[in-house]
Amino acid sequence: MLTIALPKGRIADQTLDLFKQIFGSAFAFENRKLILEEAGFRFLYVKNQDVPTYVERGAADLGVSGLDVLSERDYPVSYLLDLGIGKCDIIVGMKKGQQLDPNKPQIKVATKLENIARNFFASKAMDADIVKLNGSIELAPLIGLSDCIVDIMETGTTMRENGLEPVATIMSSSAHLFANQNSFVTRKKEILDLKNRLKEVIGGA
Amino acid sequence: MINEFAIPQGSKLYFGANAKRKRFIENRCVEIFYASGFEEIATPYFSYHQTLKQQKDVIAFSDIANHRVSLRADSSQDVVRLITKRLGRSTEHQKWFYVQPVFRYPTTEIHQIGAEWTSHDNICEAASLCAKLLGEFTQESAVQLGNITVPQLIAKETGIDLAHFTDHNIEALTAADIPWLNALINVTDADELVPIMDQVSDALRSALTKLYESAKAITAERVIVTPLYHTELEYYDELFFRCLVGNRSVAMGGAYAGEEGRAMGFAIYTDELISE
Repeated sequence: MLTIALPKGRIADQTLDLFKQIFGSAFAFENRKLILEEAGFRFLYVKNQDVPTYVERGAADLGVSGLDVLSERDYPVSYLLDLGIGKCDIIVGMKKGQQLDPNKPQIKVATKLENIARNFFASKAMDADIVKLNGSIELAPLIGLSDCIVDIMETGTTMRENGLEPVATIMSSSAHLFANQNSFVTRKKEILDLKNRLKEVIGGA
Repeated sequence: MINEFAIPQGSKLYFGANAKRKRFIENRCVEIFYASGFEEIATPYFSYHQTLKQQKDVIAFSDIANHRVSLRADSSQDVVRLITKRLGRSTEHQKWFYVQPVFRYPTTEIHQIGAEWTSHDNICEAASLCAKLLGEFTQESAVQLGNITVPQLIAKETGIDLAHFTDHNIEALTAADIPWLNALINVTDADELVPIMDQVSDALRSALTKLYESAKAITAERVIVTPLYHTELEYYDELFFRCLVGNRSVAMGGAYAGEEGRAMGFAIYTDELISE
């Protein structure tokens, strides 16, 4: 039985919908249950940022996560397929009308994506003071906690409503299927078969 | 504040059933090594010659003359150096085993049971012996066999970034849309290599043939061939193997250029077997 870690929320629902299209059965977590067994698969319902850890440590054979989560740390996993769901951009946001100033000795950045932010500003030769937050990132520049934010943007509505706008796109992200590297050795046939079937339903075949 | 009962993260404590199991595993391996013609070597915990690709993982400091000295981070390096440079004058023995830990920065202990086989170029014997040892403690181990030169040649011939192999980026390899490469992605059994051999260059065919012949010669319950597997190996430069139980890696070995011709070695990660 392949074990698949899914991130709580919309990406899990959309992924389970793909499984429903392939295997026909109803794939849905009941009430508050965190484990679902259906059609020979075991799904784990975990926090978004924890999905790669479950896979890296071998608690799950496969996982689905956004590239933003996977890029935040170099997880040793096997990248299999872009599922084309959960699309978003990782952007630098500032108060409307402001721009990144490379001549500033240091820029204060509020984000939950510490490494992505640090790597981006390092690539611009800008010294960044990273302020790690876990939510409501848009608030930080409004009250002077930071000069800018690095955050995920889907529609941009939250940013606009808080008087912020994107000034740079760091990367585009979508949900990817990935595997534990050892599972990809010992259970390669099953994993590649599932990957190919998912590819067919998302129209990539 | 450090509690009285705290031990540094990554260090190991064994007692009761765990200590008994560890001792049993090590003793059984020692019996099999001796029965297979190996001699034991125990190298110093301190070394002047430890290098790793990730040098920051070596716990280093200075000796009394301010020479760089480190805790043993890798057993093979000192085992081979001491056998060839120090014992070479007094022994021609080529099969050595060790039961000792290595240490990585900041406070990680990795207990290993390993073997080094100097002036020897048949990895199948090393992989078969490793599988035999593991078979004493688990029924489910599989030998994964790869040839590090295969992905290196493919990268050179096709222009595909070698990092895609190292990163296990199957998405990127598939996107190259090369039929024989897609076929290699799917390979798990040696026989599946045969129809692909006609589609590749002479150099790649030669590397795949070596992989095929070695896989056929290994004695193990299950041999999984992974022609595209690439990883940052310390010194294995051609055929290498890993042993897996479920999705846990429990041993690794391979062939390398030794001080006096080809050599090979492997190490079993003792802690992975204790939890079996």
